[in-house]
Amino acid sequence: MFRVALVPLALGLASAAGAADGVPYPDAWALETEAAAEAAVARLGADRSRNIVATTRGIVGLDLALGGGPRAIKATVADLKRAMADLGARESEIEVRIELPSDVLFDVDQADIRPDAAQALAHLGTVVRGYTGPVRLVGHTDADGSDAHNLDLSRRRAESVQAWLVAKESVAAARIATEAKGETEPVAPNDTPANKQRNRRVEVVVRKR
Amino acid sequence: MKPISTVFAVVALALLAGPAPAQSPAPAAPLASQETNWPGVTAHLTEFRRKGNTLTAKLRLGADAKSKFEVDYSEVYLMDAAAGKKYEVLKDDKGAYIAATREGWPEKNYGDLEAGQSVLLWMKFPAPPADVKTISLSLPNMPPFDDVAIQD
Repeated sequence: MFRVALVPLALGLASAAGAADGVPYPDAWALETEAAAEAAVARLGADRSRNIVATTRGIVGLDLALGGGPRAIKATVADLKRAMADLGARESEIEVRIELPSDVLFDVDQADIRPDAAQALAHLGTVVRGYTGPVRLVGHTDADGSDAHNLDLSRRRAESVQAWLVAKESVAAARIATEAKGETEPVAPNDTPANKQRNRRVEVVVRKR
Repeated sequence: MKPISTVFAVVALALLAGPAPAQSPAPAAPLASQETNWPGVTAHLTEFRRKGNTLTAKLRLGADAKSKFEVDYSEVYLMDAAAGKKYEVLKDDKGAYIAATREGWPEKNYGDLEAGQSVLLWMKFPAPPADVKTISLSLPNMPPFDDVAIQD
């Protein structure tokens, strides 16, 4: 009696398992799955792909602004992490802080961005675009020169970084505010070349949202 | 007899339940891997094969810690940025995605993963033209797999 009852029960289980685990396509390479996929493609006809321009307008706009070709639109989480690490960024719950050494960005007593600063500023662009909040650029100098000269230099340098981010890194100008501190907020005493170098900087504060 | 029937009924119900995440036996070396935003879960792309008019992608989600995952196939696509084309997961004539779906959920898969567990996902797309040799695969909650070489 018991064995007789087992047979139909076992058959029932096999049949149920064969009914595809309750999902339509349990196996990627089963004949039924491949047939369904081919039929689906046939139904799509010429519409088997969609035009990215029509569906992701914002991304295409960024692509064009960056001028870097299609690959430039893909900034991933990994890219953002790498850029932040390269810049020595400090991150809190609400903001990211980066100190860009002026010696990397500018020639002595100049406010024009050096060509070899492009990579650092590209990383900065990646970080800024990775968040949606406002950005503050604060220029600082060492204590060489007059207060007025240093204040003006720090202002022009902060504005140069702002202009670069807008023109080259597709950051909206309205997101960025600049400040000039001149020599008033040193991070080290202006007593050695190394300390002076630390004081010559553009501080970047990116609010996360 | 009645207790025995009850036991079999329980066994039958357990077997009929949806596919649970399981330990993967000796997984193949992945073609590419990505961290995900599911804590402790890494996505490994293990197959990316064009056959006939379709392209099949297989992924293994592996967990280092207890976590959940959920993949809605409406958010999964291939992107050929150079050609400006996007390919979405195929659906059958009943509207079900031709993919590893969860029982009762023809549009997605989801579940819990214990530390050390993994789950296999797969999905089929229309195949890009034969001259397209690499393409990017995007899934929710993780960075895209960029420029993956298509296996022909």
